[in-house]
Amino acid sequence: MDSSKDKGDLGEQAAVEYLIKNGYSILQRNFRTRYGEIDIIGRDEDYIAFIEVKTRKNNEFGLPCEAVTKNKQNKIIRMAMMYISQKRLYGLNFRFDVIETIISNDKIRYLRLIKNAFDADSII
Amino acid sequence: MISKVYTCAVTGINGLIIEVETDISNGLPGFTIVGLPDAAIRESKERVRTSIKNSNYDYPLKKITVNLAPADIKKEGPCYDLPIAVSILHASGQIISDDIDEYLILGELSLDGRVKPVNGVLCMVADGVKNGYRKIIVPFKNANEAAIIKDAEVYPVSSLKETIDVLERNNDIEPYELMEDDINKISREYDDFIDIKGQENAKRAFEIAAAGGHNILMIGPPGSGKTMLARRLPGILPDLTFDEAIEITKIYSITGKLGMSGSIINTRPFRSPHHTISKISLVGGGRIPHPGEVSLSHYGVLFLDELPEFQRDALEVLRQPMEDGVVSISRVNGAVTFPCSFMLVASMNPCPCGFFNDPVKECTCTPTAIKKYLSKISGPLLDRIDIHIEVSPVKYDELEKESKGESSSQIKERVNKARKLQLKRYERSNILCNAQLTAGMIKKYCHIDESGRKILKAAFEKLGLSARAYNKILKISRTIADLNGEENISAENIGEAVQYRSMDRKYWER
Repeated sequence: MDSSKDKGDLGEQAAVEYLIKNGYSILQRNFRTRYGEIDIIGRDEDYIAFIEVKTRKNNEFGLPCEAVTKNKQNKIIRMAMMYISQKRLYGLNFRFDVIETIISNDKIRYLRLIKNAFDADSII
Repeated sequence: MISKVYTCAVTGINGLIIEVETDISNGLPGFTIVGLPDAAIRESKERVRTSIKNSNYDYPLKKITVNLAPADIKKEGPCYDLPIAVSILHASGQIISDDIDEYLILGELSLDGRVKPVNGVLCMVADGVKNGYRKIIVPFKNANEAAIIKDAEVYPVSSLKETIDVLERNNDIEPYELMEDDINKISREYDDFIDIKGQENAKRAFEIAAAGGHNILMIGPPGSGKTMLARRLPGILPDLTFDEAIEITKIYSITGKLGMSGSIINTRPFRSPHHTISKISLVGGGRIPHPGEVSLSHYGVLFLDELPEFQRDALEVLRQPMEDGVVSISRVNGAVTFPCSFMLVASMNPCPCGFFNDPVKECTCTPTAIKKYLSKISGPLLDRIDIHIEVSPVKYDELEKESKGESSSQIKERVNKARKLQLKRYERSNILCNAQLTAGMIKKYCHIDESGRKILKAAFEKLGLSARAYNKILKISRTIADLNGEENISAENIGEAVQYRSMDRKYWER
């Protein structure tokens, strides 16, 4: 039986490979803060993208991207603000992306990148 | 880059220029609207975002801040969609226009980028032009309304894309010309006095009411023709001037009652609300202030049928608007005023069963019931109605008669002449007709001779008239003299005028 952690790691690895293939450069993985962590921070041309990876073993409980709820979004936004502040990145363009994957039997069945999946309005 | 685009808001029937400022900067992506937007405008975000995408433009993935200035006025309604969308496209460099700040842009957006009509366009265009904005982009369905204002260059649009074409002058678009035939004049055919058989007294009273702008109250049993008479009053009032028509149209514009392609209302409104109406619907108000029936009858007739059946507080709030000619609705942030210069026509039965004082039928009410019924009309309200008449049912012989009475146009001719005299007389004062005379002015303009004074004195003593009646009688006799084309008020005029105030004693014992 795959453990959830393994599946998660597999999913993240697949995500990273996919992003690199699509022209992103990876700036940081697993940026840890007291709210949680941001899975991947990458650079796509003019934008710095904060990417959340969601892995599931099937679609039974909905699409994986639907797990990125308002609450989760708010957390990610807060963490992003911390990153920006820490690295002093004011004045750059930012974006929130989501990668959803479905993995079963250690194989990647499905992977989708959603660029600009949500914006920072909810915080305000 | 910051973009400034201009649009218009409406308070009362006046338009106010609103500046839509948009700033697009780097940072966490988001779209915020500031400047006291209401719920409808906060929803604009979704409509603006989708319209931009569906019109094949780029929606900027940046920090978008839109400010609606001045910042201390509440902004309401969906008419900011289009200017906000344009402002965002301009700020992100997707519209190139060097005179974008000379336009007023109005319209609501639907999700696919189409521009939808909004209310109050006439008010916005009228005041926009006054404030120096001659080029105005309006939704297609509001074009006829906007183009009535002569100095406006109206550009009707049906989509966001078309709006950009206009601003960038892509197709050398000409301003919209309103053809004579297009002017959808919303006219009503009024019922004609020629339909009424007999009732010569009542017709005469209405002629006097029309000539002097006097409010009129009819008392009579059911079926005596009170409603028929009231409906015919607008048909004998003088024609509207262009400015008056525009004011009426503005009020109907903000309530969305102009209809799809209506441009101007050029007949006097006739409103007849049911007696269950609330005081807010009658006079105006509501969370977002709306004009009431009194404003919808501006420069027209408000007919209150079955006056005692109306709610007491609804009638009480009528008094101030009748006096001032405007309704002032106060809110914490300021007052909104709507004009309401109307003529009041009221009708009532003399008692609950309707046959008090009827020559033929028996009245079945107790004296207390009658008194209670009549006291529903307060003194101060009665005070503002100059003419009181009794309307009795038409006798069978009259109904059968072939010969016709006068038509409305014949009566209107006399009314017009009398009105002209009044306009000339009151040129330097700020009133337009005899009904508006104040106590002080009555002394000046309603001078009576010795024989007139004798009649008045006799009437007072014999009929037990009140002080309230005195000024009314003078005003009415002034109008009667005007109808005769006479500058001097004769004793006969006064004699006739007395008839219209002699019921105070009979019904209200005042």
